Amino acid sequence: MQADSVGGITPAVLATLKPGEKILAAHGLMLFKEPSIKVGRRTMRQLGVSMGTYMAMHSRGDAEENFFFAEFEGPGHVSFSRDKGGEVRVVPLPPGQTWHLREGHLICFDESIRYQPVVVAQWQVRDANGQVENRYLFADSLAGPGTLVFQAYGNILSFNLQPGETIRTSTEGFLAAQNTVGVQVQWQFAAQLGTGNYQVPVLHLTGPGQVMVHSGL
Amino acid sequence: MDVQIQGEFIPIALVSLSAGDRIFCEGGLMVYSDPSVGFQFRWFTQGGMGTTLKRTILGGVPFHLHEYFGPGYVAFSRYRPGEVRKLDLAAGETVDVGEHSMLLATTTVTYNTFYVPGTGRVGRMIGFWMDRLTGPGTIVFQGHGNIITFQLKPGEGMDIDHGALLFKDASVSVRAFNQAMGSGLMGHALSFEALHVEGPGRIWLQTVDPSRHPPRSG
Repeated sequence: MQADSVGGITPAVLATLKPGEKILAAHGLMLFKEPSIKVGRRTMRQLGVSMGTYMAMHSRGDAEENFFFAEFEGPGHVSFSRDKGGEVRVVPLPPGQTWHLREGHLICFDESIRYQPVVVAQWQVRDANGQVENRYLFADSLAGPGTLVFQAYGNILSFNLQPGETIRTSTEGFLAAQNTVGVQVQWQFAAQLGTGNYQVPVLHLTGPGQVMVHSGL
Repeated sequence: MDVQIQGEFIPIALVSLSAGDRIFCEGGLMVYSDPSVGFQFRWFTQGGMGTTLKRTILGGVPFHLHEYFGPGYVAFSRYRPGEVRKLDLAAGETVDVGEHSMLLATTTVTYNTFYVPGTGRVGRMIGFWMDRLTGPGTIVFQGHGNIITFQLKPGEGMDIDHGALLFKDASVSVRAFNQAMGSGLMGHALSFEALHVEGPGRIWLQTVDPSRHPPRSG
């Protein structure tokens, strides 16, 4: 797949497919296509995601994973848009390289990429009634070879972490990381409230590997 | 009349009107104006009571428009991110612009509406309206997000999401169809509605679906 970002306000992705070449995209993102492009579907099961994994993700709530991806087969052009502003990245993944991309940001990827929904981090918070709630950071795990296209909220800031090097991000700021990067939730003091401390969860990302953080929420 | 497009993300169209110049737009789009600029309502009752009610109630097309006349300056905005384009229409030249996308037009432009029927399938699109504008005159309109332009040759076709259609020449035909997601019963159950457009003529697409970010209108 040859993929290009088009436009500066709310960019679209223009993918050029050779005859027989297939890409998968989140359903509902197509902007336009040439009539020569065939449209199909690829279920999670066909992608090797077990029903147990799929149901486990949904049982945790808030997971946005669809039951299937839309499949587009060349030859021709097809374009996608996530209907929002933010930087688009086209990332060629070498064989064996795996990225965890925050859910809701995936646009399209080559069919040669192996897909799996994962939970990158989880933590607990107390609501106003003192009830404990679980919070999860869902992500799409994508393993090369192939080309991956995604869009951030706002701009993307990239870091290449050395072994043992750590960067701290807000839970919302995390966009993507290689699977070699360790993700830990830590609680950071925010304010003194009466007799207690108010703390917020932050992510500690430890190298080696690349990390992407986005500037919007 | 002179039109300047200012700004990048949420641009305005700044119009300088000479004495006798008149423009119209939907209500609620004026950002600022010279106190010397005159203003009045323009009732959009073209086609009689039945057509007007259908257009207003079903299509969401406004019942009245706002008319401004010079001398002086007046600025308009749709208060949303997106590219603004100005187009001069020759006498008799007809174009269709997406509903609630037109910012302004000179009063020499004939304003009509154009209905694109849906597929009629249960639970699917019942169709949508576009503004049909015939020259001579100048029109200014704004897309949602970026604008991507194409020139279709006679018989050349393209399939598009119906939220993507911003502008087309009247010579470009448009037809709703059901895009199956693969074969079999499941392919039809998961299908979605799209538009097939066919040249000859220009077609301009927008990168954001307005139904996900409803436009501001009067």
